[in-house]
Amino acid sequence: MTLIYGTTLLILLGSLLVGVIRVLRGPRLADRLLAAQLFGTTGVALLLILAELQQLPAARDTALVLALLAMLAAVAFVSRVWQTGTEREETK
Amino acid sequence: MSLLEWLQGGLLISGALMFLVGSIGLVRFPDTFTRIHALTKADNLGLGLIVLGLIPASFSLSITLKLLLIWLLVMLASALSGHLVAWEARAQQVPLRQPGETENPEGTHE
Amino acid sequence: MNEMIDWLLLLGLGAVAITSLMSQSIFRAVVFFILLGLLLSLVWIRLDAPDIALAEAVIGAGITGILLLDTLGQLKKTGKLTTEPSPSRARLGLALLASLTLVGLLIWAVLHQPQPAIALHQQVADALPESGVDHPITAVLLNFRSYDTLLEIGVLVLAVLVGLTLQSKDAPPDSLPGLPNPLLHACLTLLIPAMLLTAAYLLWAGADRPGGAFQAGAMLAAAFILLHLSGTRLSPRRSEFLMKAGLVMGFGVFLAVAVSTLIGGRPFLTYPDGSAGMLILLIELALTLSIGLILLSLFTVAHTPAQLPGKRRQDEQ
Repeated sequence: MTLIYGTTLLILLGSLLVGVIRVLRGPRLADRLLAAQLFGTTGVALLLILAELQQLPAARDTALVLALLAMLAAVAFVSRVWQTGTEREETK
Repeated sequence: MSLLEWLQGGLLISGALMFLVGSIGLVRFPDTFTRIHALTKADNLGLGLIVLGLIPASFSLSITLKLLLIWLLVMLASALSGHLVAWEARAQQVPLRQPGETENPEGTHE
Repeated sequence: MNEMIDWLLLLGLGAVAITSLMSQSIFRAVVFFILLGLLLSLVWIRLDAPDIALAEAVIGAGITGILLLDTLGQLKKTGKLTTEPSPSRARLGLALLASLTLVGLLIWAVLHQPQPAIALHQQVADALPESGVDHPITAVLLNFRSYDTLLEIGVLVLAVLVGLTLQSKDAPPDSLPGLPNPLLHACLTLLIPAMLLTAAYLLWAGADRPGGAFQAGAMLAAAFILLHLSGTRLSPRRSEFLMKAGLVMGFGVFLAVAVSTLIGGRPFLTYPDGSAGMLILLIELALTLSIGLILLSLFTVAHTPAQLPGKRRQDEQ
């Protein structure tokens, strides 16, 4: 069973790594934010599996907290950062 | 390994693979709108499979309920953030693209 | 396999930190910073330190990310966002030297750890029954070393006081309207109660599991900030007195409990026998509310004074 948990963790970490490509490439701010959203969900999955693997129930609470806070970044982004015209200021 | 553990393993691995598929979709899809699809669909399914796979590990009512609650919250969060991003993207007239077209919004050269 | 996961996390942590620092695009740096918070909380779980993982998840991946996003939005709005030219080679070298020295010192410190003369965890475990709580971390934070926690909350109150002082007296209240999105408001009716409930749960869990006032307060702050962002204003300008009372309440209650034990002839900050659990719960309740309001104030105060050059952007275009 430990082997399965480990494999799942590794695949999930690999998925994070793939997501990083989208943050690096952009090109829009929204695309980067979507990647951040992906990190949040993947983090929840990772924490749930770690809770079982390490017999650490508090990791489940951490996952709960992450799940609750997942949409905060999107709300802050849409209401504050991504206003019309800001996109072109993001220079490289 | 018992039958239940095989089932669990299958659920967990396929859930994780679903995450991987979502990430690949996020990288491969051509525009913001389709990327929202990749993310919010594949990840919710992936997390759901993982949650289902973890339930037999404990068979405790409180843990099961907490796992399901986390899944529900994540689904709510991705539905909401996907909707918000799409809503704002539409308001800003983010262009739609077919696969293969080059992407070059004004001012951002990656 | 475990080592592989740990190595992946460790390498990822370093790579993400460096990418976040080196990134030219500020938004990309913020996204990497959020990812860094997430990885850190995973690392804390791997190190069997769930208390810190929980705090890192709420503060690092949650609230700090939003603060940075909000600051970025503010900078863009006022046109103050300029990409600085990359620093000169001498400055870069100096910074590199300083950080490498620090890393070297830290490695030396880890390698030359003195053998602890007294087993602290043993002492904590022995004294736990009298502490009033069942979770060793909470016992240390609010009983054995409550002095530190008192000073910490003092620092937080001080920080928010400085923030409030910087706010100009007649600054317009946050002018940004909330998001007029019906789905968001429908979701809030589900989410806000869930967040408040979780804050209460974290506070209650602190007695025998990882959790406690700081995590619960940060969760409370997240709920307040979400309301604020979506247009429901809880700004200090509406009910200034209540807000200020709330800000200092945690520190006040803590100090009052600490001093009142002096009346009974006991030393500063020692709880009388038997009532320790009750007093700790009282302090934590006040702390939770105060920390929530303090973090909200730091959020709302941060961008009120910077609204003067609103026309600058239009001039540039």
